[in-house]
Amino acid sequence: MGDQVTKSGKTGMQNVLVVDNHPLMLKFMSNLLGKQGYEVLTASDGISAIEVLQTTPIDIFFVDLVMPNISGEKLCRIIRSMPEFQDAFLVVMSAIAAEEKLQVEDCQADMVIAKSPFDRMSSHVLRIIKDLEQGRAADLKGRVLGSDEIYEREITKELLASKKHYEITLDHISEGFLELIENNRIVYANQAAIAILGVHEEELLSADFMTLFRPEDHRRLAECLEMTGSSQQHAALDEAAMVNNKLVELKFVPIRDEGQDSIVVILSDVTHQKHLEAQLQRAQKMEAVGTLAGGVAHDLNNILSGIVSYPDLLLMQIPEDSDLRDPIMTMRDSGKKAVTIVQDLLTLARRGVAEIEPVNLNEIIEQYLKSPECQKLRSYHPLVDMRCRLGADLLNIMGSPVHLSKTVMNLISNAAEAITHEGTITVESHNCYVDRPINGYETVAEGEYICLKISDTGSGMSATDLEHIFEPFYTKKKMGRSGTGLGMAVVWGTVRDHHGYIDIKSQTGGGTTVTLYFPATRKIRDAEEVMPLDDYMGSGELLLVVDDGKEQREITSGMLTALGYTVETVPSGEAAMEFLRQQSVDLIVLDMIMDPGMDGLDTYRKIIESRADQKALIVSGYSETERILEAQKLGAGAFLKKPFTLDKLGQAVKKELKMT
Amino acid sequence: MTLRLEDAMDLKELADRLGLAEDEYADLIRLFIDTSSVELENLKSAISDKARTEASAIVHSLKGAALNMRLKEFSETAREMETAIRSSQWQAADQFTQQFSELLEELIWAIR
Repeated sequence: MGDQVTKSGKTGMQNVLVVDNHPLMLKFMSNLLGKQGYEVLTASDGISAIEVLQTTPIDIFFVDLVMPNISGEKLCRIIRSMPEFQDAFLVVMSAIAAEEKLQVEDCQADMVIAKSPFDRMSSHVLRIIKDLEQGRAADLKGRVLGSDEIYEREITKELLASKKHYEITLDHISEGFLELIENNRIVYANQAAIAILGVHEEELLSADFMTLFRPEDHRRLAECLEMTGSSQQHAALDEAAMVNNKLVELKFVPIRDEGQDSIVVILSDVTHQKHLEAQLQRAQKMEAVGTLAGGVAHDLNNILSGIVSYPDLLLMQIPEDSDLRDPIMTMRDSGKKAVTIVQDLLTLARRGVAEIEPVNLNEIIEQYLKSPECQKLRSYHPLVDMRCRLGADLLNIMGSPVHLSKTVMNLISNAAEAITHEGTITVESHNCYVDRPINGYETVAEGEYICLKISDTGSGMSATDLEHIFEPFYTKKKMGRSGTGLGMAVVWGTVRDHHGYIDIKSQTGGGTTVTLYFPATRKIRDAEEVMPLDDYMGSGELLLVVDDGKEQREITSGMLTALGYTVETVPSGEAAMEFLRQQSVDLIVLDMIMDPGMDGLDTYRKIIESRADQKALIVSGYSETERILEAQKLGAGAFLKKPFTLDKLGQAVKKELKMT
Repeated sequence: MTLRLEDAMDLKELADRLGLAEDEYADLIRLFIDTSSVELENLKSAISDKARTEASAIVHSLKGAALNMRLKEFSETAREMETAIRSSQWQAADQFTQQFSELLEELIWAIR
């Protein structure tokens, strides 16, 4: 560009910059003003003019309107945006601008002289110079000199109109457009490009395109520019580049021109699209893992029924001072731990939320903070300060207290383990209304929520870790201390089961904040009915256990017998129908999922055809399903999730038998 | 007042009318010839490609320079070119371009 800028006149005088693409005009103005003792610099286009501005103080500008690359109008705005030229005197040289005064005001010039024969222009220019020398700049402001002698300008109007037409079109499309000339200098940017890049037009024009991007993207960008510039081929960036905190896809199109070749860069902001794609991929991955985990967990769940349930039966049958009590209790406790893992897996499989009831999250948090588990956690992290800010009048959510408690526990445990030495964990809750979707880790839909926010001042996570944080067994925690390796996966599954959303913000070295949004409800809890042990002992009532699992039949039968009931068992719905044709029973304990043959719902439908008031309890290894709800609508009683304990089974049976 | 080409022989008079010294005017005329020659070549190419916007921009520049210099025959020929290009009469535009080229040859000869 250097050869497009020339300088004449004496040093020490006021500096004038003339910008015009015609050498004749530059020569004329240079001679005229040079003879008046001015230091005259000339530039043949906007880019060259901006280069001059970066090194030389200018007092007076004469700027043509129709120029290649950056137009005179935009150049004027750029000049005015530079603090050092706020007070410079700016003259537009254009016949069309002389007529269309508004355009000049828009570009913040001081005045206009119409282009005309040189003798006429001389007199206008000299008059301006004289007035300025005599301190009469104010008299010139807004003046238009030579409008009476402007020559025909249809084509000028047409050129400007054509340019404007394209600019208006380009300013109303969503893709960003940049035009680059040699040395990757930007000479045009539409409104979308300005918005995507987050840089003012005045700063963008003449800037080096590469400086807008992170150094790590430069090589890829340079390859595309090289391909487009040298080979005149279209090119596209292989992956979106990060600019202005946005993911932007770039395409490069060569423009061959007689005067100067250029490259048009098309920018598409794909941040939202990529965000949605990532969300979908995460959801699909978690669903796949959940399906696998669910299959495994279901089989394990049935096996564990024996380990968890038999110890209770054995303990009822052996003396209080028996040496066998301790080993049996250890067996029972180990079985319960195994059940915990299986429950985690079932939660992940999103089949785990058995009991949905109105829950107050503040109570869940308070209970956890007082629990032995939390005390143990504090003992591991004595320098971690745990703060609690629970919102007043917190609305309830419909949820499973067990799973929500586990979620709180997992998040606080993770927060504690992220703090290597001293630090703070803050647990907050509040009611919140989301009036427009929040785009975070997930997109939180509009609605009324209870927000649970757990933040820590710990080591934080990289973006890569954040991507995998909810995957099962993706953990950086200490082995042996951190449970099942399913902690965050359980959080994910629980939030999903509660129709909630997760937002997570973390930065390496900058701590982590996890915010959960649970839909609020105004339902309140029923007073919990506590039944003493003696109250759920049976009195010889006849119960029929219908279950396709031999082990499960034996367990349930054993428990009910121990509770004082008379128990018969059958392995299928069909066998149950056969049994009931011969004999009536007080209550049926009906497994929901049986294979082959009729499942629990179909069996219950058949039973009530002949015994409309037949009482029944539904049991299943899975959470409440549509089929269970359907059976309950038909008249079946409570749903009991396997594996169940003696007291749970006893209470449920007693409650059902009492119902009229 | 715009001078016709036949008047342009008297460089001093032309320079006076533009308020310029004779040598200064001569410099500008030479510059006019040089830039117009290049632009004419570009114009011929644009007309051949029927590139209306590009041709219009070049004619705009040629006409402006001629008017600045008060060269009436040049500016009138440029105006004819402009009309032809606007209405996509490419053959006529080509003829006027040739005419402008001939005027330029005459001017080169005149200032020699």
